[in-house]
Amino acid sequence: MPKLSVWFIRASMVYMGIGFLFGSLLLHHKGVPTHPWTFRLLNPHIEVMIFGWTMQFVMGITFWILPRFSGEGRYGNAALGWWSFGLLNIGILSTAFGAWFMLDVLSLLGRLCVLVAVGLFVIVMWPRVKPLGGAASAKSS
Amino acid sequence: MPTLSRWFIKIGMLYFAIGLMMSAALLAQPVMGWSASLQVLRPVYLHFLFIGWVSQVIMGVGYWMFPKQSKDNPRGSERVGWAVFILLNVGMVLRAIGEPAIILAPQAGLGWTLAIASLCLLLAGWGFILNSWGRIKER
Repeated sequence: MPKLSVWFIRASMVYMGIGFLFGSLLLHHKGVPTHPWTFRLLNPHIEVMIFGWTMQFVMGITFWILPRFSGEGRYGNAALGWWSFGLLNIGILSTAFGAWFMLDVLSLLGRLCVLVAVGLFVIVMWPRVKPLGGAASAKSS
Repeated sequence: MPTLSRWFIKIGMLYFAIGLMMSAALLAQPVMGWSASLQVLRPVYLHFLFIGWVSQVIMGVGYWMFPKQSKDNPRGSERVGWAVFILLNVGMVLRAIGEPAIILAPQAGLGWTLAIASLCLLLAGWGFILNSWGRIKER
């Protein structure tokens, strides 16, 4: 598993842990009310579970599993992939904090970061969606 | 494929099917003129799809396909894996009962089912993370 995938997947698991914690607090509060502020965790819970956990996990697995190139740089433009990872996580955190503390501009900036991150990820992965067998096969596809 | 993965994936597919049935029922409710109280299923259906199906199938496939932790202990603790499976599904079933019940029959005092479900789901999620963390590594 390449280092970038390790980071994507481990980060997704951290978000999963946070998302399950928020969800657990929300569910507990529904059954046995604790603090009224608990419901403010709903939007951060959704953000963290959808983008932080599932989407990021899929990105990590995709970078690991899709067909590679032969020789150096077999995973494609990894530098761009790291930019994607960084922007994605800045974006998720910004959007989640924005939703939690009702800072709409922060949420918007976060979502734009996620958008750029996904755009970079598509650029990195696009050439790897090809038949197995390296450069020759890629040219023929 | 390990037995535990087969259970995760097969039960996950049941949640997928049942979640979609609930979704269809929710969409059919205003069209067919059914009782609006059916809408209490909305959070249950969302969690059936997202936790029961998506997260559970990731857990099953992850337990099977993630890089091996070591030769002696290739998939982490199988016991923890089973505990995660049981806690996740007990939590999901309890919330499927409790979430509609606290709205439709608040006098029944079933809020405790959600408190237990929340603990089961939290332990399941964190258990999966702890059991898988060491397998997410460069080869």
